[in-house]
Amino acid sequence: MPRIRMEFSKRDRVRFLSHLDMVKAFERAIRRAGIPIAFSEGFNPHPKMNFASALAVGVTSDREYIDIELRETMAAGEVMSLISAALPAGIQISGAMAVPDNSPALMAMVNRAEYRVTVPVNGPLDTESLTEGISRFMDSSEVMIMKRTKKGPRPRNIRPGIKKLTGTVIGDRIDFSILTVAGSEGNVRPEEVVRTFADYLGNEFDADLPQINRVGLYTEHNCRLLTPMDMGSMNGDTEGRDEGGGDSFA
Amino acid sequence: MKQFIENRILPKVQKPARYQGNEWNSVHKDWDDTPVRMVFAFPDVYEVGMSHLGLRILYHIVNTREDTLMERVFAPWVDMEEQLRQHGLPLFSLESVRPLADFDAIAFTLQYEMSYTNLLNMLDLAGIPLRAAQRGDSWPLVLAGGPTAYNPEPLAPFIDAFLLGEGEEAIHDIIGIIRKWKQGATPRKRSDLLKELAGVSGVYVPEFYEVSYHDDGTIKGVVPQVSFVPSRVTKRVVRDLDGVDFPTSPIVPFMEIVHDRIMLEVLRGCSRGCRFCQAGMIYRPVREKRPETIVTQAENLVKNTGYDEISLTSLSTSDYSCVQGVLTSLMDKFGSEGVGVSLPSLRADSFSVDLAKEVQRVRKTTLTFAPEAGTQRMRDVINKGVTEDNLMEAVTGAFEAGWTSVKLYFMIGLPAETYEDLDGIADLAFKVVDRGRDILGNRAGRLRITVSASSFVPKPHTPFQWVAQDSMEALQEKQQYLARKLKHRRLVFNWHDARLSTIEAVFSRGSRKVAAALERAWACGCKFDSWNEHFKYDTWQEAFRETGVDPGFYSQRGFALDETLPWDHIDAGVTKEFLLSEYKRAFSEEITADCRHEECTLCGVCQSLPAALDLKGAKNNAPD
Repeated sequence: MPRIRMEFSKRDRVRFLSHLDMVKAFERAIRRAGIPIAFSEGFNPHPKMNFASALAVGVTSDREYIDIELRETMAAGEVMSLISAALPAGIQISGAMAVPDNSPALMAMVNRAEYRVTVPVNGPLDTESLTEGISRFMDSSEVMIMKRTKKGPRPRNIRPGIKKLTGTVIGDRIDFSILTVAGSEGNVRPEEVVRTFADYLGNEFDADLPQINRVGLYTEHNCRLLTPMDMGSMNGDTEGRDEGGGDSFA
Repeated sequence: MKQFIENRILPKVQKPARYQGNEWNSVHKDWDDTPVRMVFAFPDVYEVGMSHLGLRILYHIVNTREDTLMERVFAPWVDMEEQLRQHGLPLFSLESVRPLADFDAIAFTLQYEMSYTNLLNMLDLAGIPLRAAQRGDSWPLVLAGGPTAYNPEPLAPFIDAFLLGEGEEAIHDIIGIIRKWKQGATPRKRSDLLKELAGVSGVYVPEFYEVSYHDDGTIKGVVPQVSFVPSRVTKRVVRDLDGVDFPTSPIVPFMEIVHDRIMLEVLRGCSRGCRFCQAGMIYRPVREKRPETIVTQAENLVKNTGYDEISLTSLSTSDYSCVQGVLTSLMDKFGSEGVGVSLPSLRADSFSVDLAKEVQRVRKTTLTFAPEAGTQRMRDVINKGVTEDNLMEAVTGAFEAGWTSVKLYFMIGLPAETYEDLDGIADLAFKVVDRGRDILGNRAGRLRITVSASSFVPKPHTPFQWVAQDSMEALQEKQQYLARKLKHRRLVFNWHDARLSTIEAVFSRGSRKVAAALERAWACGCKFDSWNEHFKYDTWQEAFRETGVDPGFYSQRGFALDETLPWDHIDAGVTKEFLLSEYKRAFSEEITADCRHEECTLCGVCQSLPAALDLKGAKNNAPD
């Protein structure tokens, strides 16, 4: 069945929607748009759509991804413009492409997430000493947090999941750029990174209400970060496409 | 304020989507270019309030007008209230994130008595003086409407004007007056506005009426203090349901709400005449929509909302004379698109089960029936036209069609109830269990019968308005009795907190005197009373004591038949003579037929109101 991959952003007040709310928002937008989406078989059929990653409540994002399966062919550009007109303010589609129906699921593919995190500075701190603090922090082999699990709090080392951390002091705030491991194995949340780093530095900044923006989701492939759109066209070249494919809107 | 709430407050509350305000089909108008600004206020949380059809209807009708905007506000959950109070922020509207005090009018809907403390709390959070008498010329007008406004007296000191009855047409009259007043000479006087409003049919301005009392606390009279108000205020009613605007682009909430589906009203009113039921009296006469209207509205609703379920709503949808045809057309039209149809309220008979079978998609949910009472004698007392045979046929049909779980709703504490009637509830429940086992055979392991017993609360404008409520202890004893009788692995028994029902009765039948207790209870921290975790029974009792209000006077006292009732100056169309005759027939166990199928019962509605019984199909749906 034809599969369409879309890249979208989530900004402003819709950032307070949970993942479940987002799933419903897309389902309803797709119905309003009249897209011929495919339904799963079984007792309780549901529209076939998959997201790359759940975004935490309150976090904005520049690039999220969704795959939807169609029951009949429709050009990616047409799907994109129809759904765009039916989506609530704050959710905006920036690209769409057809991907082969045998390409891996988004969720299984994405293993890196990049964030921009903004926090207020508490005392006199400049970029130089911040950078120095970051490199000491990143030199440690263990960064422990207490992870809430079903069996109660468990210690966990998140250091292996922090791939990159940089920061710049701009006036009375810090902009962090963070690259973490994402997905089902070793996922690290940006607020965990900022919180442990704040503790490490001795609370020179306030990690209570970080403003978090996800910049992108990637697959690390031969030391390169590829977006799901890159991955979609890579697979497509060898597997061939249906007639709605080939066009990529980015 | 907007930025602060978004960046500092919303990240700290449990469900920020409640305050998000940007949902699909929400209306965001230019504040400065719109002369009249109203906010619809629902005194409960977002998920409850957004499930209310009246909000959707009024929001749509008002926002269709170019000269008026209507935004929304709900009772903030306790975590949000804490944030607002801690930061000294006023309660704000969802759409434009503006303080409530900036609006010209705040329109509360009154769906149940136990939301009254939330209403006071919302005014307080908005920084608006609670009592109408304390509000000067610059405060917003505080309006209220909805079913419990039919006894407006417990809220009389807090509300500027009540609207009685249906709002679709009356809201235009009210807006017209507000607009004229705003454009009029300054300084604008609140008293002038209230005087104009009191001239609108269906509007009750309590401060223009004085209540006098006998020494025993009963009412001597409710007398107009000015010449320009009527001695009785008559409810507003829409004549033609096809003729009034119905929202086909309702707001689609992001978060899951209680009724998360299309709500398409197919008829209004119910004339089955259950004697405890307030809805069955105050929403008369029965008026149906034409099938073509419903199908067209359904098409637009699906297109404009993207919902996958259409619920055909009314007080009793299997009573709609065209229900069969409408169901068939809807399912033909939407079946292939994955859009289902559902019926929220089913009569306990085989006809209704046949309908349910028809709409049932693959997923089998629970079927709910409301026999209300356990013996035929008791069902005759309350005029519930359902027999044991009806119910048994209905559950038989349900089990045969594959349902394994059935809910049965009963009421306890009904007038003239004996323990035999309670035994009847248990007997009926066990008969349903036995029937289920017989039919389900080896699937009987999945059989689940839920029995829910609510406690009778006497309601104004019903034949049982004079009846004393059981004492809390008596209700609790009955609940325990049933709980013991209904112990069985296939049975689940639920009951409501009897303490809550006794307080509900006070505000259901209270006079203006109970307002002081309400205000006191709120001041001592009562809110979200209908939420178990927040209900503070002891605080309520203290509030009654401190304000000298004897709750039993309003709940446990049988009102004298010749007594002036606190709501006698409110005219719901149904005459007091009719209610009295129904009261008497109840105690002689005489049933009264539904005027849709038998002769007119002379309830007074079609005789006195500018509306009449309006059926669109033949009477082929009549029960035997």
